[in-house]
Amino acid sequence: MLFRQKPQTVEIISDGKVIYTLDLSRERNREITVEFEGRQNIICIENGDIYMKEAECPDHTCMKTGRLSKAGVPIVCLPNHLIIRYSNSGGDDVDITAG
Amino acid sequence: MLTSQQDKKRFNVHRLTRLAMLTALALIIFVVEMQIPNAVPIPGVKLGLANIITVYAVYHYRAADVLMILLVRIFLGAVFGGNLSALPFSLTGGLLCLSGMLIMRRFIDEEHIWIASVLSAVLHNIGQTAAAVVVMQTAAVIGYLPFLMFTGCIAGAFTGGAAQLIIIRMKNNKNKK
Repeated sequence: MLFRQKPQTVEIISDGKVIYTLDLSRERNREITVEFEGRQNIICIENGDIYMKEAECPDHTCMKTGRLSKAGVPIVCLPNHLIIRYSNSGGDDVDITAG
Repeated sequence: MLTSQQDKKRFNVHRLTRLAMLTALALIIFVVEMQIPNAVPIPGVKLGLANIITVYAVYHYRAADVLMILLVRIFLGAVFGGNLSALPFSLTGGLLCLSGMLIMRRFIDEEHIWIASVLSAVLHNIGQTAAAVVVMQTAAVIGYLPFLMFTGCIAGAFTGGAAQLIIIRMKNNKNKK
């Protein structure tokens, strides 16, 4: 519950599982590689921002979404089942029923 | 004189040819549209020009016929596009959209086909978002639905308008003959 009060907490969800919970204000600049069915996504953290740098998929929509914003929608890579979002950005309680 | 059996056979061939032609047309439009770069960075957003054929077919063919055109176009489109991962979204969206249109054709006449097209585009968006919720196993993707619906209305009006033009042209051609 404490986590949800902090808007800086970002979740990386791969295939329905939260694989990273990051506090962007404390993260150093780095890249995270996530694999799904042999296809890679490279997520980049840069000066407190997070965005999709590379994606092995046909559309690259997630890369065009740009940096994750607090007010906006999550970064979604549909083909590779990957979502980057603020963990308190809504939808948390419905997750269980939806899954 | 044709016997009734021959007559039936001829009808089937005629019908098969027409359906195949419409499916081929839809596929050509689909493949051409793939070459247009997507301007909006929202997953699932596209013009859906191939639905000009679907909209037209809903008003001129039986439900089973339209279903065949739609299913073959979606499957072959995914194969030609090399994007099988998009299949669950287009399939759920397409089927919900088609069922909605088949109901709507009872209430909305052909002169207002674009209205039916807009409404079914929204249904398509709801269907594809529902599929995304199941595939991604999170409700977070619902945040995209308002954006999808907004662009869906524009795309639906556009494809519906195009279908309307086709219907008017075809009627004029028939009258000339």
